[in-house]
Amino acid sequence: MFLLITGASGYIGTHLRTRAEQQGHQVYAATRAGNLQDPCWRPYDLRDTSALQLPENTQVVVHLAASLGDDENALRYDVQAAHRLLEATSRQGARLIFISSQVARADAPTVYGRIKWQIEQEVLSRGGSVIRPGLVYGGEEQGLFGTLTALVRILPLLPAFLPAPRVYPVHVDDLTDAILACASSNAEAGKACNVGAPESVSFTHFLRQIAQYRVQTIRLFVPVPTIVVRMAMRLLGKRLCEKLGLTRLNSLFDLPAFGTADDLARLALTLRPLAQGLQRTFGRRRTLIREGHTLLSYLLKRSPSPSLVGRYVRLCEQTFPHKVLDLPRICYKWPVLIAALDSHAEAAQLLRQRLEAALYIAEASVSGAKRFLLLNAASGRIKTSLRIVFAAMPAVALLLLLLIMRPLRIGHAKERVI
Amino acid sequence: MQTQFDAIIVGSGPAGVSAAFPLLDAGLRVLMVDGGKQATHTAQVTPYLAARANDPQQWRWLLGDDFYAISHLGLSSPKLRIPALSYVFEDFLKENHIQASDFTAIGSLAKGGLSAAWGCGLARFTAGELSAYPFPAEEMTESYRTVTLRIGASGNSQDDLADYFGLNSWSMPPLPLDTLHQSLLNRYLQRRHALLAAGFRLGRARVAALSQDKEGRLACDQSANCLWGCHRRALYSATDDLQELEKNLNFTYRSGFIVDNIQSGEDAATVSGHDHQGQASFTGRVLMLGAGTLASTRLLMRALQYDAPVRVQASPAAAFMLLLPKALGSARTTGFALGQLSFTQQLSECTAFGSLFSTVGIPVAEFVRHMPFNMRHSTDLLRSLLNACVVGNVSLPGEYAGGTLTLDPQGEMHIAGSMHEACAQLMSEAKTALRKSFCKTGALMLPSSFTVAQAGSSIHYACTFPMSASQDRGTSTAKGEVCGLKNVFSIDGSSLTTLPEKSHTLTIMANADRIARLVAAQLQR
Repeated sequence: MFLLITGASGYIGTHLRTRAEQQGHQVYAATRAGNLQDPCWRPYDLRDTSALQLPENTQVVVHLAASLGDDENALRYDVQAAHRLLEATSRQGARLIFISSQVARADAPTVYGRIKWQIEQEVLSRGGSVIRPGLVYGGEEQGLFGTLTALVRILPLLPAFLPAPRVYPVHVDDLTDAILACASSNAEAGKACNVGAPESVSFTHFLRQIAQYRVQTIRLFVPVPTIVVRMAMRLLGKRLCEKLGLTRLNSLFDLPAFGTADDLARLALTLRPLAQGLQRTFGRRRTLIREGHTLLSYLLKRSPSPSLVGRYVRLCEQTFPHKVLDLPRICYKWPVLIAALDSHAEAAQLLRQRLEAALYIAEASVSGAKRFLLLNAASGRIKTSLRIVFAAMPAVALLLLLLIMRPLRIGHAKERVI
Repeated sequence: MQTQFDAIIVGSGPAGVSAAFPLLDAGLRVLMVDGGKQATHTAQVTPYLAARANDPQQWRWLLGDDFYAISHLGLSSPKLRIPALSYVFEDFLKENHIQASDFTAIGSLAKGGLSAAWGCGLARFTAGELSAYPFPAEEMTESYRTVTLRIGASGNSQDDLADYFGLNSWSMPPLPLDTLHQSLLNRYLQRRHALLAAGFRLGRARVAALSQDKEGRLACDQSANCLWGCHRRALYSATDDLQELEKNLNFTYRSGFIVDNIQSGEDAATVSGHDHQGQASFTGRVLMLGAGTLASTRLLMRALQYDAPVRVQASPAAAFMLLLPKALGSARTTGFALGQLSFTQQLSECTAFGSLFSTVGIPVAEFVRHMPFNMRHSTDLLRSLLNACVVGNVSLPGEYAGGTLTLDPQGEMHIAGSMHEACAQLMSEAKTALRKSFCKTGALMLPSSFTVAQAGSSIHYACTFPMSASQDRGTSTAKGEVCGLKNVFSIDGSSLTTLPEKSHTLTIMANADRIARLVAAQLQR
């Protein structure tokens, strides 16, 4: 399938892109900033009013890009942007999937919610699909989930709002599965789909779970009646509230009941339990993603593109089932340290095997060709000789260092069966 | 006995097609059967480096959609791991019931056989090399000429290897050399006398790659895509001849038919085998076996109910890497990616022969994984170093390595590889001599790069049923007829009498042509 994702560099966007590429879809990432040399990148700005040209073979457009905040003027752009996308998709016979919000409804307390509803109506009337995610969590700490996790980390005391708002969490990878399932089913055209936990949890419970499973700490909760917050907000005034990010709380206090069970059944999806999704111990797939990212960074000397990591994961799942690497933790932070493990004469068989796989995957890409082939023109003998010396020195030094430190037996990669 | 065909040829590789032409020219009815595997990828059109720099989908042809190149890292040669070539080698051992230990056993069920993935090296056996053959060397001359002109050869040059290759009169001009090879050749010519005295000769490689357009095939454009598929069809493949053969009304081609058994009769021979429709058998007045040395040998051993082991010769081979310090920092350019220069080195008891290749056209990862350092720093090192490197291979006569073939009661053939005891000594001699010789041409052999490969890795197999005048069981006659199997002719490597160090494909083809001419004359009588 040929997908175009707007807002592909955001929280959900990056996960969606990786997942889609893993499944063998061709993905165009439409974002404001991108790499001009990346043939899969398309410039996209919500505020750009010129007519939009989709890549010719696009079949589905997933519209994730959105303005933040509750400023009506800013959000108007979103309506126009959605309109332009709908024009472009219908010209091309493609389908638009609009990622809306749980708060979208005609009489929402926030402009944000009302605007989302307005866009939804237009998308649905023109044969597009709408996905309303609940509270998205998991993966990189970004988006609202990132803010909440950061708060749990910083604040020793957390508010327990009374009455407690009910939220419907959905793991970001489950959400991407839902989006892809929606994208590949034409029966979803003209339908809206709620994606969130079938049973709501209290917001307090959600924060507590973050504390327990993600931050791995204990936090005390202070009861705060929502009415007090509302009064405080009125006193502070609209502008200050917006500045402090308190406006968002309005949405939280006013969350509607959110029926998801039927929609999940229609997409044949089962969401992972909250505790599992929040845990830092990674599942197999996520371990492979982290492993691929680390090994490829080590070889490429830069962050690999999601498609390279996706290829690594797919290869591992196909070729070396049931085993993941257990690298020393510090390697995930500084991939260069793998050099020490890789230089071990008795480097673990599995590490060697995975590194070789990553090596071929890293090279077989445009960025890899640059790194491996030094594609520029002649660079002169002296410069090249120096380059060789600088490359050989650390390699030899490392070998010697390891030889000296051999009796100490520094850490090495282990295997783990999943 | 009424037969449907005059001749049945097993295999559509270089031997099979070479035998088919003289038979058809004589007006005989020919059936050709082969394994029928076909290419699944289209050839690369963009030159290698341009494709590497710009093609975001390059992983598809470099690694394969199913990561074929990575899941087969256990195979020694990079060529065996190229996704587009996987069909060439696929299922050969399984379908032919061959198992190997300490031996690289390769064969093909593809249309065109191994020529779909060969190194295109050409050479003619000299009169001296043919002296052990049970027929006068001149008998081969016309066949060499016919075959060389048919497939298209390049490398015509009055250099020090002109006599060694013996192909100048039928060859096109040589392909252009890249700067590294040109510099090697220039230095060689400057120090030629000293090097000749040291037993070293360097010259153009003689290859079945076109330097001029020929009958619908286009000349090489130096795009370095040799391994990834030449869209100009500059490299010879037997499939080119197959198209020609199929135009002949007397030619029947049954693709996808795997031969299980052969049977010899007083005035006919039969093949039985299977295809996707089931079992079938065909009878012809003669049967010509060109299934590739390993597969043909197994069929012969079965037909002869051979319980003694048979010896296969396989040229021992080694690979090494040369660094030209003078070329450090030069730009990477594409060129012909198979042998550009060839060399011979005189050793104490034999001659070593080899060719030099550009490193462009081979993924850098292939080199990184063999470096003694960690991969990150090895990559740093090689990205700068490889521009100034060429790869070499070197092989010795077949008698110094090979394998023992035995047939078990279930019909499985087992190959146990082994090296002649003199082989290690000769290889180390070759290493020292080549290091010194190349040093004089301005190239340093990288330390520890000289690697001797497992027996069979050269894929130069021969001499299982060698032609001899003896009429003994386990040999073939001068006409290639296998002793004890009347009307069955061995036309591939199996019937070669000796296997010198040089490329043997052209000789197999010429011999097949020679045998087919003799058989055609016999059948016409």
